[in-house]
Amino acid sequence: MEEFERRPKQRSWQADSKMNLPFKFTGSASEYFRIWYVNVLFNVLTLGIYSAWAKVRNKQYFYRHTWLDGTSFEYDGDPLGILKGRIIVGAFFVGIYLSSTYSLYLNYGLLILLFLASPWLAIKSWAFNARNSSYRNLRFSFRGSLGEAYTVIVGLTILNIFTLGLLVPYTQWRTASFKIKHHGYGTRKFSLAVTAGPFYAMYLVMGAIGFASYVATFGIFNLLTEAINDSPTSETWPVEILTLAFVASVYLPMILSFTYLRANSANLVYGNTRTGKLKLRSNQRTLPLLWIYLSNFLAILISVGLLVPWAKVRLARYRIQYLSLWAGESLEVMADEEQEDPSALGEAGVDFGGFDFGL
Amino acid sequence: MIRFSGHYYDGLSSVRHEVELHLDTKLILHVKGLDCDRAYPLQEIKISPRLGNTVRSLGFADGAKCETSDNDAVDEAQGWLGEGQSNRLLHRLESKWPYALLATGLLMVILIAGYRWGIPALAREAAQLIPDEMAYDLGKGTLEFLDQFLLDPSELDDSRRASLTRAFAGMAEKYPRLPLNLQFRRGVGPNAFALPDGTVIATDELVELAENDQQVLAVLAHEIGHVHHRHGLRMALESSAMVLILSTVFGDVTSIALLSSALPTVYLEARYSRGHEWEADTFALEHMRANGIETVHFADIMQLLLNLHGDAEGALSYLSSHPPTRERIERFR
Repeated sequence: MEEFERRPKQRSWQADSKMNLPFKFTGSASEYFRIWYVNVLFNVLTLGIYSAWAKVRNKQYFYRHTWLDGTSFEYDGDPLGILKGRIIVGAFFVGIYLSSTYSLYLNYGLLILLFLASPWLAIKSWAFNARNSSYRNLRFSFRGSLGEAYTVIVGLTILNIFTLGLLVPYTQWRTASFKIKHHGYGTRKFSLAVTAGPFYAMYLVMGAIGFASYVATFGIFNLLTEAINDSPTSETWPVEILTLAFVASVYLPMILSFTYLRANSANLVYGNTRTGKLKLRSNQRTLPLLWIYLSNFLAILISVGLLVPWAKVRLARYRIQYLSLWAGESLEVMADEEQEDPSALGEAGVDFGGFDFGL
Repeated sequence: MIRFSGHYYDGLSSVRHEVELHLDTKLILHVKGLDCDRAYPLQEIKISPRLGNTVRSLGFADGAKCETSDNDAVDEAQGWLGEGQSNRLLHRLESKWPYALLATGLLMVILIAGYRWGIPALAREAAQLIPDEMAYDLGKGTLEFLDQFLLDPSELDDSRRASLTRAFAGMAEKYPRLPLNLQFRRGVGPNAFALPDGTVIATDELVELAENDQQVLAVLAHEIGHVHHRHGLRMALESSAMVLILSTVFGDVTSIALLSSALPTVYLEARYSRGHEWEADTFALEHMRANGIETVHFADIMQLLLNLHGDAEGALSYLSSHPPTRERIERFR
């Protein structure tokens, strides 16, 4: 019996070769549809307790269908940990809701408490998520300090209130940087190789897009109402259609700008994530993403929510399709390290309050 | 003997080894590859649950792991151990279309039944179970809020106001458990509404529109009905229950479709409002019959209001929180 060599073997690479390894998504709406609905049914039948198990299954589905260089990712979070966290955070939110009807002071107090606790919840949940994500049997990790979390999450939020939005691009960059530079894979650490400058540029462009599209849509809306007023027939258009047109002209530019922001934020953040000689690349475009969002919305509306799983798969496929890894070194040189097991309390914070900071 | 192939990851590095796996009759799993020759007892292997046709993982006690796409082989291996039935069952339910469609159908039935009967019934029972002090404490600051932003002080002449207040007190005597108190305001057109803490507000414009006192009192009887049935509290319970269930079933819709789920819930809640209005009408009907007041007065004032606002038939009426006024009026003739 040959003894297995414990030292990692390095495949032979050219010294300056670069390999572009695109991420692949192999999930399908029809397969996911079945898994989704059976799990939702169990969730409803168990009055929500099964949701922790459903979450693990749903997440694992997307992880296992994301491939890089022939291996897929794995998620193995413990449902009991997720459930405990959800119950505690859920009770807290019920308390907030009830106190809003009985005592305004208690309500504000609880909200402030939640705000102050959010860095802790965020750190715990990112750590839980990272620890339970693995690739080729090496785990990811998150090691951000609580102090820095407070500076970034609480400190910057307060500062933003006073600076009327001037610091928003900086805040987005700083938060992304905090998240990424404390994530690790095995012994490797990640870094965000971009400054806040491109974020400011992105917001400026977004503002320009928003302005231009508002001018366009309100121009069209004005022409429409003028045409109606000038029309020779005495029939007026039903109020519903006019309201719809008005609502559309308010929302569409917003959605366009927001989609631009989403696509470019992803590109800026993912596209500048590095470790060693491995660099991530992200190539999302505004218009295709906008199409996906709008058609998802219509599909969900028309199907009364039945097509939610289809919409999820579609969006995931787009994002992963435009993600790739430039490998300036072999993927096989990573090594493992020791980690302890963080509690799952914060994990539920991500689910309930939407503590997802955009990554 | 079961044979299948896969990849071996030792957990110490990110190297991928192609391996052949084979389970012998003594339930030992052999893992053989170019740099690899291990054996693990099947008993001690942590097998991940099957999920569609995704890659399956086999976790070993020494921290190493194997991944394979041959799910059937792994299922068979689990079967040899006599384990994994619940996992196989879940997989069967998730992979055959008839089950998924059945699950979807069942889900829709449960959700629709819950929406139409379950939630209103639960809200009704819960609202009655909540002790009086808590129930009437709800929204205590609402009147101050309304006075500050929406309502103006009443300009009715004192004698009219006094006679209506006296008549209202006479009605309120019949319901000693309700902390009723009548307030007059101006500024939002002919209207009347009840706050959860028992305050009933009538507008000057309503009093001026009415042809006689009985018409005003008929409307006030309807408002007392709202207080009696705790509709304010029930509405809060119903809409929270709905939000909770929708977010459980549909998950994070905003991130995939970008628009909030506020619109559908407004439409869904309108149905509950219509139910509450109908219940308050019933209360008014019974009160008037029990106290010898002609119910036609309610029909008359409703008709006056209707003439003022025009008939909102058509798409918008489904969105309005009151049932089509014609039906309500007919009940009182």
